[in-house]
Amino acid sequence: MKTFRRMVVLVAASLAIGILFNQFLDDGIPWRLLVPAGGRPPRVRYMDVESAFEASLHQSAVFLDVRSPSEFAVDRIPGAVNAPFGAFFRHPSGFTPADRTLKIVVYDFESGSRKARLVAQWLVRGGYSNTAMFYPGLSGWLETGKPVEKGGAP
Amino acid sequence: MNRHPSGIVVLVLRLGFGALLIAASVGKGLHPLDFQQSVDNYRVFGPWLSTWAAVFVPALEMLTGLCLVSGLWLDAAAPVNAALMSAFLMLVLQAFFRHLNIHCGCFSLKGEPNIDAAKIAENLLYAAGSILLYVLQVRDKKPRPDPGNRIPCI
Repeated sequence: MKTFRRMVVLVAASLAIGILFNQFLDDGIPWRLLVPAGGRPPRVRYMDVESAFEASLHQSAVFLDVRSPSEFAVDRIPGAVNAPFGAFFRHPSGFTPADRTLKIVVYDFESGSRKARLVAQWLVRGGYSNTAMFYPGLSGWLETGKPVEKGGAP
Repeated sequence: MNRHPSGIVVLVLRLGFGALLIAASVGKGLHPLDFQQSVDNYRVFGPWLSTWAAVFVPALEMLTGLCLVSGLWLDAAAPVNAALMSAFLMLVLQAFFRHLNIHCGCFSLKGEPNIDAAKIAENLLYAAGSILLYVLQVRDKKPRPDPGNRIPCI
């Protein structure tokens, strides 16, 4: 009985530590993702480099960069807004425009980033139906020689 | 002190598994989203349960590993270790037989070879060793008759 009780404590403590630790980790899994959203995750539209470049050039979309502020400061798509993954899920309203019809493009450095997909899915679920994920990511953007913005956040 | 021969085996096994679990938990704990993707790739749990597993499993590995190394709550840590190793073996086995072309995600989350016969043999060894540790630990806990208290034969 004592052993069983200890096993339960070990499992419960792991659960509590795991949840808490993830809230403080920059790239951790936020508690909002632990709550069942119901149904299948929404489909997110993908955007290629040329479409993203067009949108950036004409400023017809809000670009959300889910990387950390230090990575964001190195280089980013011109005009992008920094929405670090963990911070975004802690206060989503701080990073999203009031107008839900605006076109939002979410990207990370890597192609097919899980973080960018989760943020984009969250936005689509929240009513931002005009959200797309920039699938090639900043790495794809750089590979094609597109211009980047450098330095501190605009 | 009259140490039972299995005491050395228990010591080696618990230090080995303790170090293994702690080492495995660090990468998973620091990159929970990558680990969540690894768990999701096994196609056993849905995305929501995979997210919970990514939060919970690294913490459980870390706590169990610390218990095994320190020798605290060994009676609880040994069966949890055996359960973890058996679960990992089951996951790897089902992925192999379903021909899922995926990485194990056991230690390093990137750059690991895909699941093959060698990976199954490795996991089989871990599961067998963890069960042996559990059995020896239970056996060592049982009180043995003290030879000094024997009633002398007349």
